[in-house]
Amino acid sequence: MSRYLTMRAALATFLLAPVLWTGGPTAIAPARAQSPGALNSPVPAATSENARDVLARVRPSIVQIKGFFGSNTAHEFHGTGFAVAAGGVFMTNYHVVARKVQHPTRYRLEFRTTDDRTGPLEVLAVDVRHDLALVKAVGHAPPPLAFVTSEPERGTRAYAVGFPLDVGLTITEGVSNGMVEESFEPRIHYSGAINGGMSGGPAFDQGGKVIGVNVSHYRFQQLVSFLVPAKHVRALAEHIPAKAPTAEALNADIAAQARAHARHLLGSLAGPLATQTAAGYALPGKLAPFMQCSGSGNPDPLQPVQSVRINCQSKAGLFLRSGLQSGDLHFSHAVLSTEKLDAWRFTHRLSANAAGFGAAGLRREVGPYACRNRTVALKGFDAAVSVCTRGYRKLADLYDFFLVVRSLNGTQRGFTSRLTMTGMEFEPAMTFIERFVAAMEWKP
Amino acid sequence: MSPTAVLVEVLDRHGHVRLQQRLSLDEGRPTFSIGRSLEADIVLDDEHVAPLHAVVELTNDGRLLAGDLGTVNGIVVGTVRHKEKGGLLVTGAPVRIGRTDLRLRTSAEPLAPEKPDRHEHRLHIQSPATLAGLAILLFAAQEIYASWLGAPRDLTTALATSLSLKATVVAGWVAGWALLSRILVGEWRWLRHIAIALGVTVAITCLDAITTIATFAWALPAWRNASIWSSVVALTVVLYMHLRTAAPLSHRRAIVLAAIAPLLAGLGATWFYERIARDDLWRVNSQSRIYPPWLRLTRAVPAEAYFKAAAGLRAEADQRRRALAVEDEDGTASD
Repeated sequence: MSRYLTMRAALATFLLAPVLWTGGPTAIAPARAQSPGALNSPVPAATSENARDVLARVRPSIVQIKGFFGSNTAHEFHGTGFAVAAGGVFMTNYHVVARKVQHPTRYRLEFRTTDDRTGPLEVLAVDVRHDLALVKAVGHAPPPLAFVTSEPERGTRAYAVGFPLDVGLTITEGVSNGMVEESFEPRIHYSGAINGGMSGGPAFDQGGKVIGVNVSHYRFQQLVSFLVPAKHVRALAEHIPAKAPTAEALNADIAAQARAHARHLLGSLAGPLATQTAAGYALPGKLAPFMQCSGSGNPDPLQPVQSVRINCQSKAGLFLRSGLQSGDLHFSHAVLSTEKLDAWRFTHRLSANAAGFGAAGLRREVGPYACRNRTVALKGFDAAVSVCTRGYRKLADLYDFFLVVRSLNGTQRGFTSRLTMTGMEFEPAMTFIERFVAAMEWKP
Repeated sequence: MSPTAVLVEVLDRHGHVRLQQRLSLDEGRPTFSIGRSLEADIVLDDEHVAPLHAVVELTNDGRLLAGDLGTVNGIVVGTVRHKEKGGLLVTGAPVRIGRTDLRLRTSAEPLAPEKPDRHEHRLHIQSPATLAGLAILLFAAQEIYASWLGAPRDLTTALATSLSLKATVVAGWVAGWALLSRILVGEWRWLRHIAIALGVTVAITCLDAITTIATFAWALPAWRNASIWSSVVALTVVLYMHLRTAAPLSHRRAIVLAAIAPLLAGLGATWFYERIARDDLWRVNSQSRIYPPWLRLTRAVPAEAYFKAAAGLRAEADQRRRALAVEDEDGTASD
C-alpha cells in the first residue's frame, strides 16, 4: 500500500496529517521520556541540535519542485529536489515529474528555492526502476550534496528533508532500519515521518551525507517510510546528459527500462518453481524470497465445501504513467474440496468460485485483449486454460498477461488459479506462464 | 319461404353477448320495434333510448332495415349517427341505440360448418387450468433443483425464501397482465397468464441448461452475449403471448409490440457490454460452467501444443491495439 507522495490531493493528505504527526510522539513518549521536558518528543534534545545543524548545512541545496497545468499560476502537484551536481542538476522522484514526462506540452515544471526564487526546470533523465529523475534548473546552481558510500546501518539516526503538504522546508528525525528484507525493489526502511510533498527530498545520516531519497510511506500506518538508497541516486547522477532529451527519446528510454525491469523480475524467478500442495494439487507457491504470500481457509467444518486460498505478489510494480501499473506479477489459487457434496453440486460450486484480480488499465494506455481458451492436459489432470494478453499503446513491446487455470478432473476436488503479469515482454512472459502451468500437478 | 326469425343480441363493451332474444315475426307484417317503453317489442332499459326508438323491418331476402322514430339520439351504425325514417341496413353489424350495443341476426346469415371435436379424453391438455398447473409444477421443480444445486446449509429455508420471493414477483407480473385483460377484453384470465409467464420461464431455463451442458461437453466457444439475446427472445415470446391474451390485437401487431422493447434493450445492452468489454477481462473471457468430468466429450490438447498456438496471441493483440480509433490517442485524455 505504499503511496506516492506527490501532492495530488492536498486536502485529503492534510486531513491525514494530524494522525501521522500527533499520534506518534504522544504514544511513544512516556516509555522513552528522560525528563519531563522531553515528554512530547521521542528524540533526545541533543540530537535535535544536530538536526538544526544538518538543516542549516543542506538548506541552500534544496528546492521545491512544482508542476503547473498549462498557464495556471497555481500548482497541480509538488515535490522536493536536491542538488547532486554542479550547474544546477537536481535529483527528485520520477513520480514527481511523471506528468510532465507524459504530457510534455501540457505541464511545465518550476523550482522554488528556500529564499523564494523561482525558475524553470527541465527533465534530463529518469530511472523508473528506482523512481528517480534528474532535472536541470535554469539560473540556480547551488553546491551539490555529498552521498554516503556505505550501506545504511540498522538503528542509526537519520533525517528526511522536504516540503510536506506545502508548509515550507521541514526536517524530520527518525531511524534508518537498513535495507527492507525480502523486497524486490531495494529500499531503505526509514522509521520517521515522510509526508506528501517530501517526495524526492534527501534523507541524511548524522554527518549530513545523503543516504537516500524520500519515496513513499504506508498510508494509515505510523512512521513506516521508505527511501531509495544512495547508490542508485549516485548511479543516475554519474551520467548527466548534456541536454534534455526529446519527449520521444525519454519515452523510449522509459519503455526500455520497464522491459529491463521485467526481464530482471522474470530472471529472478528462473529455475524450478516452488510448489505447495492443497487438496491433492501441487500449485506454484512462494517462488522467490521477495514474493509475498498469504494463505487462508475456512475453518468451519460444517460448510459443505472447504476452501483454501493462496495469494502471492511480487510487489515489484513500477509507476510508469498515470493509469498504468507495470512490471508486477501476482497470482492466487482457490482450492475447493468437499466430503459432503456430489460431483454435480461440487462442480457447480467450483464454477461459481470467481476469486480474481482486477485488471486495471486505462483505455488510452492499453489495447484490447486477445485470448485463447482450451482444455489442456496437465500433469495428471485436465484443465481449462485461458491466456489473455494486451499490448501497451505508448510503450513499445510491453504487454499485460492474464492466465486462468481451472481444474476439470475433480468430482470432489478442484481449483481455480489466476496469474496476472503486467508490463512484460511477450516471449519471456509466455515462457514463464508455460512454466507456471507446467508446475501444476495432481497428486492424489 | 321468407325468413321470419330474428335474433337480437345485447353486447357488452368488449363485444361479448350479454343477452339474447329470439323474435318470431308475423309473416304478413315482418317488423319489430325497439324502445324503452313496454309497448316496444325489444325493451331496452337505457335512459338514452326513446320510449319508441326504432322500427326494424325484415325484408324478403333476409336483410334488416331500420328506421328512426324521430328520436334525439338516433341510431349509430359504426361511427355514424343516423336519423333516417327507414332503409338503414343493420344486419350483422353492431348497432348502437342510446348507449346499448346491439347485434341483429337473421336466419339468412351464412353458417360455418360444424367443427369436429377430436378431444375424446377427459383431460384437456390445452385448457388454461391444466397448462397453468403444469407450469406451476415445473417452475417449482426448477426452483427446488436450483436451491439444491447451491447446496445451502439449510435447504428448507433457502427454498422457502427463494420460492416466496419468486412467487411474489410472478404474482405481481401476472396481476398486471390480468388487470390489463380485464380492462381490454373484460376477463381476468388469471390461469392463462400464469401458464404463459411460468411456462416460458421454464422453457428458457431448460434451453439455457442444455446449451451450457453442450458448451462444456464439446468445449464450444462461449458466446459472451448469449444471455442477453436469450433474454430478448424469452421476453419477446412472453410479451407476445400476454399481449394476445390481454388485448384484442392482431398477430402481426402483437409481435411488433412485443418485440420492440426487448429488442431495444438487447441492442442497448450489447452495445454497452461490447464497449466496456475491452476493459473488462471477465467479460471478454467469459468462463463456461464446469460439470463433472464424465460429461466431457472432447480430448484435452497437450500443453506444448497449447502454448505453441498461444504464441499467435502477440500478433492478435498487436493488431487489435493498432486497430484502435485515433480519437483516444494521447492528448485528448486527461488524468
